[in-house]
Amino acid sequence: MEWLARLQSIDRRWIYAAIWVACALPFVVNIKLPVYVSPETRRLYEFIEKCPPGKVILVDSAWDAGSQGENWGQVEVVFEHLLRNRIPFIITSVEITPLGPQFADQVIERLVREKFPDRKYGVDWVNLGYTKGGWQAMQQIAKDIRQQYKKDSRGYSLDDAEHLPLMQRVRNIEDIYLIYSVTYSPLEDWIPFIHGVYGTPIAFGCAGIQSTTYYRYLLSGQLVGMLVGVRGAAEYDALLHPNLRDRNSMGTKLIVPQAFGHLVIIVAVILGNIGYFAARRRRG
Amino acid sequence: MTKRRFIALVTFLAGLYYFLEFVVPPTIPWRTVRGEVVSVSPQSITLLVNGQQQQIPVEPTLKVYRERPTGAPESVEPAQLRPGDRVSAGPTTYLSDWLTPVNNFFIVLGSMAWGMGLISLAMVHSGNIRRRRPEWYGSVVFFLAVGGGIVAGLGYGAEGGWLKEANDVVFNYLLRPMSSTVFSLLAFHMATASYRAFRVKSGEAALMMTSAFVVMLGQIPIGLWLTHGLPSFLQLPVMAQWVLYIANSAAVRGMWFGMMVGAIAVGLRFWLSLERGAFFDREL
Repeated sequence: MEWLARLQSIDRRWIYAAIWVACALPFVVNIKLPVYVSPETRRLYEFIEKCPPGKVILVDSAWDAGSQGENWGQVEVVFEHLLRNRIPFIITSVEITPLGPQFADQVIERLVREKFPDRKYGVDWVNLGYTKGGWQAMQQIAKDIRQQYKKDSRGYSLDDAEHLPLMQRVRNIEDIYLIYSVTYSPLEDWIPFIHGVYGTPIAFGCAGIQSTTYYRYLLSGQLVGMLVGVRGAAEYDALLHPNLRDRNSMGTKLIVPQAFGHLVIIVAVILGNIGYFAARRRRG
Repeated sequence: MTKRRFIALVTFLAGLYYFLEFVVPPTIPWRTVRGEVVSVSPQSITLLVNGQQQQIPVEPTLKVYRERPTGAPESVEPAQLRPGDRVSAGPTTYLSDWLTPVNNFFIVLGSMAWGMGLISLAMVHSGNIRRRRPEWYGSVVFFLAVGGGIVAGLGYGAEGGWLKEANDVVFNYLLRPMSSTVFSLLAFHMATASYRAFRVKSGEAALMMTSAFVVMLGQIPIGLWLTHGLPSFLQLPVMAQWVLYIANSAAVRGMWFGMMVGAIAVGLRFWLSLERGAFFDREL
């Protein structure tokens, strides 16, 4: 019983080491795991599939290095879907981080280089860069996008038909089919100020830990879909590529270390409790 | 005292504007006409109202709102109208006309906070260097980092050259790994914290641990693998979905309801400058 009681006071460095090994192992050994596709992921995928011609999708890519582990995969799979189906999209970052558009550029650069070399900036996507203003900026994007952005992130005027032909058919919220906001914790202002006023569908991509506050919007229909952490990205990749061997997105890669990490935490908690009960029994 | 009163007045007027803009219709209700556009000329708009044609003279104070397919109103010029459009037209109440400039004012004001933050940091760190306070060299690093970040930021979007290389070095090889490293420390802390703190000391704790295990296993492929042979309602991912959609949403809704009632009270106190605390009691 003595050794069992000691399980509740394992040196924390062993836990650190276990987490480190669990998260590092999948990078050494190539493992791909099948995933269960949750309804929130499937709804977003199916909604994007139904995008009518002539409409664009606004991606609020407001994440940076801090949350790239979860958000990179979430924008990667959606960008891949949009580029594959030739659905034009506009990228911006509202309020949260000025680095968002730069990270989005990196994701697209890789996708275009590796999978869609014929897709063109200005035709298939436009990056409008960062804007401050929170809900005021959202209101202005909805009323007239040119009120909020005069130029794109490369310095071209939004009226420059030669470099930005896509922007010549985008005036206001009426031209936007879906707003997909990806960041650690997306701004809920999209829901009252855009969905509430104009009825434009909204979807979120968020960190797993933040997702619990957004599920209620899925139930009420105020969110059409949501990608939750790495799991959401891996599930979306599974919808894009039904064959497991074809999946190579960041989400599919990172769900494996996450799975092993979760297992370590669960085992650690169980061991701690075994030790706790053993110690209690010894004390009588 | 004068400054304090001035700030209180500006705060009140700003809040009052947004409140009135929200509750007062954009056109005078008893002089607003709703109907379908029959024809438009520079002098008047002809509408079909309750089966009868009615002419609306085009005056400088006339505001016309076209009904979007979603039902939301879109402010348009009379020349943009087409026969068949559903519109409401009437003399303006002026409040909504000012929304864009007022929004711009607050966006600019919010942007100034970035500059003020930088000035404040510069003052603190320059003071550290001048007075040779302990670890003053950290303040030198601050100035070098800000200067380097600004110069590197100029290379964003560049096609080539040393500025682009500087941007790549700062953002890809410094900022990204450093931010990710700091954030990933969370995994280690969460693992040890849950190991040390999560003890089944009561029935509630047992319930919480069970739901935590269900959600954690349900989020990863291993949960599916462990239970894929069971009926669907007993599979871990399905049970995790139930916890997140139903139990979690109910709790979050209750919590947010309470928080928002509190937020209304705090908002009112801010609006009326009744708030007292660290900064509000000081004489400005």
